[in-house]
Amino acid sequence: MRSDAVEKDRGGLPALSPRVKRMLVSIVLAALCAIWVYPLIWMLFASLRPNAMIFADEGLIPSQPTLENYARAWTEANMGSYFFNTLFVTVGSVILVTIATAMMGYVLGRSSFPGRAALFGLLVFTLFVPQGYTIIPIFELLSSLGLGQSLLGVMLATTAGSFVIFVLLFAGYFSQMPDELEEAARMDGVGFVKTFWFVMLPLSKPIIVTVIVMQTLYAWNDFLLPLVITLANPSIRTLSVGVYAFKGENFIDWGGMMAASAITIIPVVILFLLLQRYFIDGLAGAVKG
Amino acid sequence: MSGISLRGVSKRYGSVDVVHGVDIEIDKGEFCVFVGPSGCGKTTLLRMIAGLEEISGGDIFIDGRRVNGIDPARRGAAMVFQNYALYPHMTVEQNMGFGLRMNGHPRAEVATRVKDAARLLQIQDLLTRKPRQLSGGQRQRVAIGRAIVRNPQVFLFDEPLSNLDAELRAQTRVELAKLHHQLAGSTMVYVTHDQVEAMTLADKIVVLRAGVVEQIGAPMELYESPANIFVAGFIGSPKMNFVNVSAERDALRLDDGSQLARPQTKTAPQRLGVRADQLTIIDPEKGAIRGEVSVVERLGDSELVHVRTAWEQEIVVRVPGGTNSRVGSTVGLALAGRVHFFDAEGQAITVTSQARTND
Amino acid sequence: MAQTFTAHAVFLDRVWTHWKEYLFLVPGMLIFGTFIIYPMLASQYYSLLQWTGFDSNQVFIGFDNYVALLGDSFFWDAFLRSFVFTAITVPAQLLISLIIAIVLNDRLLRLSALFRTLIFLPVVTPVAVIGIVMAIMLSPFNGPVNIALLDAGFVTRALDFLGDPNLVLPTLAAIYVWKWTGVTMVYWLAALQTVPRELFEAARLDGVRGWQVAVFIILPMIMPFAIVITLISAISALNVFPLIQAMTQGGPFFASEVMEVFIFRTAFAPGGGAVPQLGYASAAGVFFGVAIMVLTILQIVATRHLRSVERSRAV
Repeated sequence: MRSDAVEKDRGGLPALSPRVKRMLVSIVLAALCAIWVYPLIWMLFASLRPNAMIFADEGLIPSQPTLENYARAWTEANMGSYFFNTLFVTVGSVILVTIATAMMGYVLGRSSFPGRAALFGLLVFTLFVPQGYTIIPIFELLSSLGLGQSLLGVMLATTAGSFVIFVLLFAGYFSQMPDELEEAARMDGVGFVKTFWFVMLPLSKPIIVTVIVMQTLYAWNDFLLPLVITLANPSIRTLSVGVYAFKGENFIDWGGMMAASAITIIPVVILFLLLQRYFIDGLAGAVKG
Repeated sequence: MSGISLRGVSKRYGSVDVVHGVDIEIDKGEFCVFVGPSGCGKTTLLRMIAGLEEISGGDIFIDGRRVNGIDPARRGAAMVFQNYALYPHMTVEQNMGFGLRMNGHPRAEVATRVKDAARLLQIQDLLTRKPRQLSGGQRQRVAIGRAIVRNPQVFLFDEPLSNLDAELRAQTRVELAKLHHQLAGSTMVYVTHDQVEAMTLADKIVVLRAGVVEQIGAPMELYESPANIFVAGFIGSPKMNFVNVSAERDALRLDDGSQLARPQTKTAPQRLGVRADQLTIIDPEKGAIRGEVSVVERLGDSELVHVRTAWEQEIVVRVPGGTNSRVGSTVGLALAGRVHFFDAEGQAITVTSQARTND
Repeated sequence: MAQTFTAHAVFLDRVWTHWKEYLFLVPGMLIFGTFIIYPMLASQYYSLLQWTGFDSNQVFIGFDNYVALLGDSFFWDAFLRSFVFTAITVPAQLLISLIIAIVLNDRLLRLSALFRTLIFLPVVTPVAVIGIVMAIMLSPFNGPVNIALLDAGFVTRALDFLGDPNLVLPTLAAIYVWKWTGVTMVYWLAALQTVPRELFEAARLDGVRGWQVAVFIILPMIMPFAIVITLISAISALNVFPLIQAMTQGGPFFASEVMEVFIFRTAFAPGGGAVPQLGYASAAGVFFGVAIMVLTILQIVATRHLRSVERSRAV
C-alpha cells in the first residue's frame, strides 16, 4: 500500500539524493561564477604581466609574473596619491554620514516631535530624485563655498549619496526596539544623549555595519561628482576618475591600467569579504522592521 | 507616615479616560499589589508613579513630596519591567551598575554596590555574562538586582513574573516575599493580573477595574468580605459561585423554585455568592440546591466537583481528596459556611444577622 | 484671539520640550538641506535661466528652455533610451538575482558564501575599471568574447559590441545587469532570511518540492519586499550615467546617450567645442526628475490598486 505522503517520483528521472543534488548545483554554480568573474580574474593576471606579454597567447596564468606595472601605476600615474584621495573621501564621508544618519534615524524612529511626519514625507519624496538632476547646483554651491576644486568638497557632497536610505534604515531599526530599554535608562537617570550613545547606538551595530559597507562602496566607486569637481584639478582625482583618465592619457600602457584597476578594487573587495555576513544580516534586520 | 499617596489621580489619552480619579495610600515599607484584569489601568498607574507616564489630573506624593512633573530618576523609585529591559550588549555587572556609573558614582563604589546586590540575589557567578546567556529566571534576578543597586525608597514591579513558567513563577514569588523582608523599609508596588500573586505577596491589595478602584484592603479582608461582586469573583480560586435569587418576605427563591431562609438585610439581595469550600455535598433529597455532577477535577489534596443545577448553571464545590465523586450522579448541595449577598448593582449587602442556612 | 494665542503657546511648548531631538537632527539636516533639498530647488530655478558656464551671466528667460527641450530630438531620444534601458535591465536583473538568491539561500550548500562573494564582485568594481576591462573583453580584435563566439560558431564575423550603434545599448544593458545583480541578490537574500525556516520544513513534509516551493511559498512571502526591491532597482537603472560615461560617453553617434549623459554633455560640454548650457541642462534634469516621480507614483498607486483588488477577491 502506498500513501500519498510517500515521496513520489514525478519527473520520471531517478530521484537524486539531496547530497548529490547539492553537488550538481555546486558544479553548475562554480561554472557560472567562473564566467561571471572571468573579466576581473583576467584583469588581475594581466596586471602581473610585462606590457609586451599582455595579449600574448600563453593562457591565463602569467609565465613571467612581475610587479612593475604596480610600481609604475602607483608613482608615474599617481595612483598612489589618488588612493589616498579616495581614502580621505571614503573615510570622511563614512564617518560623517554614519553619525548624522544614526542621530537623525534615532530621533525619527523613537520620538514624536512636531514636524516628524513632514520630515519623513520629504525624505521619501527626495528618494526618487536622479543624481544628474542635482549635480549642477551642487557644483555651483561648492564653488561659491570655495570648495569647488577641493577634496573636502568631494567628501562633503559624497555624504548625500545614499543619505535618505540610511536614515530610513536607522529609523526603521530604532523604531522596533522595545520601549522598555529606553524607559529603564530613564529610570536609571540616564539622559537622552547618553541613552543614545551607550544604549541605542551599540544595539544598532547591524545597521551601522550596513551603512559603513554601503557608503564605502558608494564613495569608493562614485564617479560623476568627483569627475566634475576634479575636471580642472587632476591632483585631487579619486581612483575612479584616475583610472578613467589613465585610459585617456596612457592608452597603450595596458599593464599599468590593469594594475591601477586592481589597486582600485582590492581594498573594497577585502572590506566586503570581512563584513559581508554582518552586511546581509543587517539588511535582513532592517527590512524586517 | 505615608510612603506613596495617590490623590484623585486620573489619566486621559486624548478623549479616552483610562484612570478615573484614583485615591490610594501606601504606607512606608508596605508591599502593595495592584491587581485587575487587563486594561484596568494598573500598569498606567504604576507608570505614573514611576514618572514614565504624565499625570493628567490629581497628585502623586512619594515620601511626602509631590512628584508630579519630577524626572523619573529623581523620584527615588526603581522599576523592574515585564520584559526585564536588560541592555543586551552589556554584561550583568554593567547592566546593574549602568545607572550609577552614568550618574558619576566612583567605579569602586559601583563595584561594591553591584557585588552586594548580586550576593543578596545569589547571582555572583553570573556577573560577567550577557543577558542572552541567562535563563528567564536569571534575567529576572538581574533586573531586580539593577533596581536594588540604586538603593531606592520605592520598588515598582510591572508584572515581573508573567514571562516565567509556572514552576519558576511560584519559586520566584517566594523569593520576592523574602526579599521584601530583607529590604525592610522599602516600599514595593507590584502590578499583576494574577490574583494568586496578589494574595501571596501583598500586605495591601488594590483591586482595579476599568480605571476605578473597586476595593483596597489586606488579602484576607478582600477574601472574606469583598465589597462587590467583581472583587468577590476576582479574588480566590476557584472563582466564587454566584446564584440569582429573588427575595420574598422571609425567603430567597432560587431559579428552580427551591427556597432558602432570608437573612436580615437592609436591601433585598439579588444574588448570592458562596465559595467552593463553603459548600458541602449531601443527599439530593436534603440539599437546598440539587444538581448533577458534570466534571470532577482531582487536585490530590482536594477535588473540585462541578455540579450542574436544574437551571443549567455550573456550581463548583471543593471536597476532600479521595472522595471520588461520580460524574453523572445526582447530588444535593448545602451552604455550609459564609454566604455573600449582593444587591442589584452588585454591591455587597451587610447581613445584620446571618440566617441559618444549612438544613 | 486668546484661543489661537494659547494654541500657539501649546505648540511652542511642545517644540520646546523636544529641543534635544531637534538638536540631534542638525547634522543630518545640514547634509540633507545642502546636498539634497537645495540642489532640487536650485535646479528648478536654473532651468529658467539662460546660462552658459559657471562664470557667465545668468539671464532669466522663463520657460524658454522647456519649450526648446520639447523640440530637441536629442533630448527625446535620450529620454526614451533611459526608459528602454530600464525596461530591459530591471526585469532581467530582478529575475537572475532572485534565482541565484533562492539557490544560495540553502544553508546546506557549503560554498554558498564563496559564490555569493564572487557574484558580488562586479558590484564593488568601479565603473572606470569595468570600462577598461570590458573594452578588452568585448574587443572586436581578438577579445575573449568574440573568440568564444567564433569558436562556438555562433557568429561568422567578430562583433563590434561597443562600436555598432545597434549593439551598443543591449551590450551596455548586459554589462549593467552583470555589475548590479550582486546588490539585488543581497536584497533578495535579506528578504529570504525573513521567511521562517519552519515553513520550508512544513512544505517538505507536505511533499512540496523544487520550483513549487519557490512559486507557492517563497514568492508570496517576499512579495512586500519585491515591490521595494523593484522600485530601488528601477530608480538605480535610471541613474546609469557612470557606467555609460566610462564605457562609451554616449556614443557611437549618440546611440547610447541616456538622459544623464545628455545632461552632463549639455551642462559641462566636456572636451570643448560646444558651449556649456547649464540652464538648458537643468531644465532637462527637472523634466526627467518629474517624469520619474510621476511614474513612481503611478507604480505605487497601481500596485496598491492591484493589491486591493486581490484582497476583495480573496474575501
